[in-house]
Amino acid sequence: MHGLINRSIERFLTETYGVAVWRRVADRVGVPGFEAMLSYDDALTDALLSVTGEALNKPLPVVLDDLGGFLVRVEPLRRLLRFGGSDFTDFLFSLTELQDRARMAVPDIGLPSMTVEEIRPGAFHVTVTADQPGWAHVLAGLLRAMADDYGALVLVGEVEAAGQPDATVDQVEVLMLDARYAAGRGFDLAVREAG
Amino acid sequence: MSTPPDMMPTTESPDRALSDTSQRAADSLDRVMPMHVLVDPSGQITRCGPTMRAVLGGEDPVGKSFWAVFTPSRRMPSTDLAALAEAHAVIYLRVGAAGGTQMRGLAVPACVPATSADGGSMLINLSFGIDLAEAVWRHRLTARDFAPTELAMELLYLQEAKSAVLRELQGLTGRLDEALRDAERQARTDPLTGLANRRAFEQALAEAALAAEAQTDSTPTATAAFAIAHVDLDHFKQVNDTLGHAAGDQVLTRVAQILTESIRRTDLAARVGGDEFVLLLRGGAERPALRDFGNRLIDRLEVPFTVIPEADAAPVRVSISASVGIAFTGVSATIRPDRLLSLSDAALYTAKRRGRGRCVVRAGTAPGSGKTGK
Repeated sequence: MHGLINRSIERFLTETYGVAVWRRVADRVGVPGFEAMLSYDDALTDALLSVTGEALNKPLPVVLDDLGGFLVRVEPLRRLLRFGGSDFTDFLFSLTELQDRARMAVPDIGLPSMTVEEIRPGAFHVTVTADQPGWAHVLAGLLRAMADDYGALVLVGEVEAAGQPDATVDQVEVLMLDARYAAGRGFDLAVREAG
Repeated sequence: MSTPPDMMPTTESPDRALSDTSQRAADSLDRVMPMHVLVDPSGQITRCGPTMRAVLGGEDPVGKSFWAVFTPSRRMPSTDLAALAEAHAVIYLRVGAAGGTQMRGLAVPACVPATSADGGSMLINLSFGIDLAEAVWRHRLTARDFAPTELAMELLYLQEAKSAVLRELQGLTGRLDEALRDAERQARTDPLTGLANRRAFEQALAEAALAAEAQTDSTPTATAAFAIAHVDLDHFKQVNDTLGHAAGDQVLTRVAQILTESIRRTDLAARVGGDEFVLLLRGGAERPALRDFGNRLIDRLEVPFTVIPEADAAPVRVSISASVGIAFTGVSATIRPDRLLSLSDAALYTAKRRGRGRCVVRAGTAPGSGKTGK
């Protein structure tokens, strides 16, 4: 798994639960910390997630969902996501490009591929295809946070994957209740870099 | 240009005098080229796309001279718009005066019914070049200000993604650099005492010898001369054998402290063996001063002190001594570092043989003329 992903989990734990919790998890996994620009074995990420679940006393899907919400609180990431569209529906459809967009910046990042379908007015299915399971949970948390960011009122739920139980194809369902429910957070196309 | 009847205008156009068909054509133009400017044969602006208006800010540009609103870049060979349009020339300009947003565009003859003029008008479509992000920030533009066919959003996205990646890389470089420094420091330091180790000492010695040689070649001065003091502890093995390694380590730490306090900042103290230390004494060396230094050092090392052999054990008073062998370069001498080192070794051996707690000084220039001290 790419270091950026492991590092995101590290930051999620450090900034949400404190350095002490992160240190405890890191010690049990046997890592000093992650470098965002290096690559790590997939098994290490699996171990990291399962130890995190035990440390927080939460089931893995809940941890992943929280992680998705956290990602939107990382301002550079939020901004990159907001480039996807000028409203939430627009953003939702931009998920089909997310893998390619991410690859433009970090060629080996290895995000899952996604397809978006409007199954009936205001109801969308996002299908996630990945090498590892669990991405749909991250996506669900991320979509909820992004809806808030755009000021849209939505319901996000995970759909049981049809087919084989070991499939890494998952679906997330998004019901758009009110596209302009709240003001949402601001997004200027360009910002001045500090320093 | 013909306009399909089902194409609905989506932006409000200020061209009140236009016919319905022309109005639709103008709206299409606004959508496809939101940063266009139409100029009549006299050089006056007759129309302006909505994003161009946002970039120009407050005042209505319509009716003004094109070159009153824009400043041509120096790389433009001519400002004759008609000729530029005829040649389909690329034009470079700034908005307003110097310091305004830089833009690049294409001028072509306009055969657009949106203009009332009989022809001879010019269509100039402008775009931000590499200054895109700066221009977007400066003019507070949004995604809707760009035609969907433009790659402006992709460029902005890429720019931001790249700088985020770069920040991470800089962080990594910084941490690697720190790790490298740590590794280098560890590679040069004796972990128990914090003094330099043999490798660091040899490097410093080689540098001192080179500096001495360089100075001797030009103007011989006393400051380039230097000395090596070899310090070997007496009775240390006894402490180690009877009180244990913990006590031995305390003795070594204390010796290191005394050595550090006895030398100047420009000198160097190193631990090169179990109970063996060397000092590199820079900045001039004369026999009497060196002998005094060696004897004072032995006096300080002979002061009894207490160690605690193990946790919760009673403190034990120990006393040790040291033998010191010193070799120095002499004022204008050039000497190979290994020769000086073996000379100090020989001096130490002589000191040991004459009984413990002694200092022997040898001069590098005249081997064998060393005199004993103490």
